[in-house]
Amino acid sequence: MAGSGPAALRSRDDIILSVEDLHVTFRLGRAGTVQAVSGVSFDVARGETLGLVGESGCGKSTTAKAIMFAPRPTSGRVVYEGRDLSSLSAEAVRRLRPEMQMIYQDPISSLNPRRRVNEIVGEGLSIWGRRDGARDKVAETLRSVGIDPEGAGQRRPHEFSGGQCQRISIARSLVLEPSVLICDEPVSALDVSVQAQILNLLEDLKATHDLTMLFIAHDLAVVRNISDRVAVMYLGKLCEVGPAGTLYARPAHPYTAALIEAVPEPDPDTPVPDTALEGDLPSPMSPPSGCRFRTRCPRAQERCAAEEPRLRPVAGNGEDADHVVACHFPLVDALDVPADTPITVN
Amino acid sequence: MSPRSGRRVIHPGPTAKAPLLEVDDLRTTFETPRGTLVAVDGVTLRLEAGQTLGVVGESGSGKTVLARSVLQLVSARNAGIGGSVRLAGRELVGLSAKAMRSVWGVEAAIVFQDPMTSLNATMRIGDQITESLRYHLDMSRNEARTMAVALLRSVGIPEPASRLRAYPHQLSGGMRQRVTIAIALACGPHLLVADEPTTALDVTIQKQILDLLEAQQRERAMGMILITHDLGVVAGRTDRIAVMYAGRVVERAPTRVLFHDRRHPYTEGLLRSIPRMTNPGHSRLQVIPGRPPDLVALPEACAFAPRCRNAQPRCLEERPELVDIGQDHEHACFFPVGTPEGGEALARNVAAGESAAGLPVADDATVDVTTLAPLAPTEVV
Repeated sequence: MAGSGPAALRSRDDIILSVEDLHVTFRLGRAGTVQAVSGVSFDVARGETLGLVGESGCGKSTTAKAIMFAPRPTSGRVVYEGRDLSSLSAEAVRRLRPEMQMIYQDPISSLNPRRRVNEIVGEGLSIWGRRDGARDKVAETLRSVGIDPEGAGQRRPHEFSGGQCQRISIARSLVLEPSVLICDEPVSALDVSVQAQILNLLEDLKATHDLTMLFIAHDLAVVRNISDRVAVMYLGKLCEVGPAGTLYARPAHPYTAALIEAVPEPDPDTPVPDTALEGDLPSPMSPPSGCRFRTRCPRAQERCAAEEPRLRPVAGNGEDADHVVACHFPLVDALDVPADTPITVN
Repeated sequence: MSPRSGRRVIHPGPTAKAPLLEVDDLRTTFETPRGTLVAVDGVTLRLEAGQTLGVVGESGSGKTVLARSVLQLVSARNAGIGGSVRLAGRELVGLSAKAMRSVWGVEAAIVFQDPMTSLNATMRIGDQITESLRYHLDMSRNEARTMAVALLRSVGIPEPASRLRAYPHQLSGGMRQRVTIAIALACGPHLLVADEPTTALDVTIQKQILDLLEAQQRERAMGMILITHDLGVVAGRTDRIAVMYAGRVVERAPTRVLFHDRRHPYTEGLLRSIPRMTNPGHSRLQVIPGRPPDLVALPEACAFAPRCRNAQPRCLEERPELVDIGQDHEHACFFPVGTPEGGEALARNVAAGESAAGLPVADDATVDVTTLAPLAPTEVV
């Protein structure tokens, strides 16, 4: 786990967003500091959906917020369309916000209960002074997410169900026509039937609006369905990044395998696996030495406590050269990478 | 609760072959300014000792109110419970809270969804576990403490003796849920009701908790009701499943039968809307269009008809009752899936382009969701 290193960064010319050696540290006064994200690097190509999975507390949401510079990461680079956000002024970062929008987990509390739907969805337009045709734009966006603007526009969030509130949140993000949509557990609070409606809607909107998505979730089946690539996080670090199909069929990291195994199959003929990942996530205030996953890992050896594994390419996956894993004893052979491989950025 | 409370009920004791739990025509209603809300509408269930019953449905289908009604935990002033709930032959409906004290914890216990709010935040967990041991089993302080340590160990809490002094906020979500399970198991109940016990937890912790519940249920030969909205959770862990919609059981069958030979279009819809890890990426998910109905003033019709691809005129005029089709399998549908009538009904709707309730029905099961989000009625519950 513990995967630091740039191996997950690809050298392609259609990378729209890349994150390099991202660190987010929170000070807790006398209690010390929490390294919520420590040394995460990945990238997203234009039109791609990257799924980010991991247990609560692994730093998924913090990573998403750091990409939005809300708040600014402690160190590391976020490069959007070739522009390094950390080298920009706060005002210049703010000017980029319409291009990167976010949807949150709890659709009801992320909408202001005192505003009407038209105001909620139209607020971004008025902030950016795009008042011409704003009313039509709001109506059109609401219609595209399956909300009838005639009846809904003058209502307030409490008059809608969770699924409808999530549609309104999506409309609010889309009205500014962003290029990148960051979805932080957008369906975790919803029933399975409504979840399917929202997932289908996101796939449709991705096609009609040319979106690139970072999709954060703890449900591996949901991530499998919507993502092109998947990144697995544990305690602030990346364990494994790869194409969704390969990663689920042949996980290289023991943690990825354990996460996949823990998903209950909706099929009574599939026996529940006997093995379970034991224990909870260790405290991020004092993470284990070496590989952060070693305290729960069935394959851990002495080396795992002494030396932090770096992300390195998984061997034998043919064309899937962009599958990387951070483990000394991966489930699939991985190629050795010299420890001093320089960080190369396209 | 009904005005009969206070009346002494003679405890007949478990009879030879009687099931552990017999629920007959249970009906729980709430009086609201808009009218009577029927949260549980005539539910009949049986549960044998040592068996697990899964109760599945969307939010608002009445699962939680059913669980609470079984244990007589619906205490709102505007609530009424009718019908019968017999636990080991003893009628619970109508018992006063005082009389129920000898049932709660001892005969039947419940584990709630959110372990943070179901634990007392200001009490050490040791005191929360020993409370019921000392009250019901008359244990001394030391006996209760020893028992609490054993319970915490049995639910997989490391260093149980030192954890007794911890407060809930010092534990992780999974550990807190283990504590609530220890509390529920403390007095050795015969019936354990688990109401969405893992919905608030991560998938890895969910597996740990479900494994724990299953092991304890086997070891103690308890009857268990496992309530969830996730069919994946109940697939491998229940003997029977009841699917609820709008306060009613719409299909009930042994688990394998339900998954392989489902009849109700709602069960079918729930199963098909689950994303599967085995599917190729970007698979179009089938959706159940629309949303559950308002439970105030439901018409005398099939409550699922407005969202059902098979709906015919009859579904809008008449309410289907549960019918037994053998193999211990019941469903409440006039045009069930997997039958000629159901197939013809769907073919008619596909030909007409819409169901009898006006739902657009396309040939391909994928329906354009953007046309299917009816405006929510103002809800005051």
